[in-house]
Amino acid sequence: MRPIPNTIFIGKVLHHLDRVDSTNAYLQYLIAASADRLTEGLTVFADEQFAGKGQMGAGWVSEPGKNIIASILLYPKFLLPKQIFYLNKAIAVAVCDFLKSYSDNIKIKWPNDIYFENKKMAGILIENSLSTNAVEQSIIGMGININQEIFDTALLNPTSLRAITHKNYDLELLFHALCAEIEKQYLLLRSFQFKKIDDLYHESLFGLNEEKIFTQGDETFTGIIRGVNEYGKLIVEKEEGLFEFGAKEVRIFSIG
Amino acid sequence: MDFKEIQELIRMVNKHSIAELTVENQNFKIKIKTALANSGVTQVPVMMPVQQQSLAVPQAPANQEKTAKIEDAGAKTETANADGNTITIKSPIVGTFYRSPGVDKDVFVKVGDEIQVGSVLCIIEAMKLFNEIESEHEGKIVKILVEDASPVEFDQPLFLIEPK
Repeated sequence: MRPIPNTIFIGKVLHHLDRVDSTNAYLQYLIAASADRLTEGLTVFADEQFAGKGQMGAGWVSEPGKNIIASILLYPKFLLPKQIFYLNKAIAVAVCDFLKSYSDNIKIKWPNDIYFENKKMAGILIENSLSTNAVEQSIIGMGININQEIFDTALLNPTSLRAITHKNYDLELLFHALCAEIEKQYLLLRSFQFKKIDDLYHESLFGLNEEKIFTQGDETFTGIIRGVNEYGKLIVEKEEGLFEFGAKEVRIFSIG
Repeated sequence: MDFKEIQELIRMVNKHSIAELTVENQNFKIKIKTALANSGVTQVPVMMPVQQQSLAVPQAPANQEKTAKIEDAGAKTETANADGNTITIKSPIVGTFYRSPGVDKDVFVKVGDEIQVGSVLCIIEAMKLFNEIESEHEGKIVKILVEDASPVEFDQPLFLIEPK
């Protein structure tokens, strides 16, 4: 795979691995082992990842060489720690918009999964280093199902671009397009276009203004999704009024 | 890329059981192949997702006992420094406080540890974002003010540090 041709800084230095435990972990070791600061936008791409962080346990079948598994190094020092969720919003928008070029009905499922209808197509895992006043460093990890055809549907509800469009894709070309999309959204963030990012995130938010069933511990309730606030909390309208929930407090139970 | 960096890459490749690595930019290209490239693919069990570290991370009891003891000592130190000789490290965000990077991992810091500027003190997880908190001071940890896996608020004190 060649360095990304259509970007300014993302993927200009590219580490292409055949297989690795986790691209995020690899990047972290690379940072720790380097005497000098690594260049912003350094990207790791793996054909196969066998212990990915955030993979949904042992049931996740990932066929080597069929998907995008990558991590990107960024230094979003312009962000205050309390603004960190905007980075998540920007990346979710980028991955979602990238996939929308190939299929309809792609949505962001709060807080940061990408779904086609009721099936998961991509996951994002972001690991940051914060000081008191700034986001010093960010590792953007992504797994996006592209050409995979075999899934273990017992545990999850995964899908891929190929599974829904019945086409085979050039992984390298798609990865170039993804990197360009991420760079675009990141530059939007860097120019403090929070409102714009918020609008884009909500445009693609799964279940927005729809009534859904939620689970909170052992209880279930219904409510209408009204958005995701600046700190990433889900805003739900219940009969009693508006409520905000963290990612660990509730789950959106009804899908589709 | 100099010789030292190439050496470092080779070390990485071995450490992560990578069979083949290509690094490329405008000016150079390096390809490292190891013996693994020719061997069969070994199946490695998939690790638990990091998210699930919220399911509580119990540490070895012996370890905990030790930590508890040192923390007692830390409490005394804190009293001794009540005149303002300690620096309080506060949480920059709202989230869940973790002392170690994963279920089976060692804690980042314990009471008595010497820390440098940039040392990772803890992880605060917020909305599935994993945020390592770095120290901006050089010194010694004298007290840890928050239990592992508990929620923290913005500006909540997390650590007391005796600056060097």
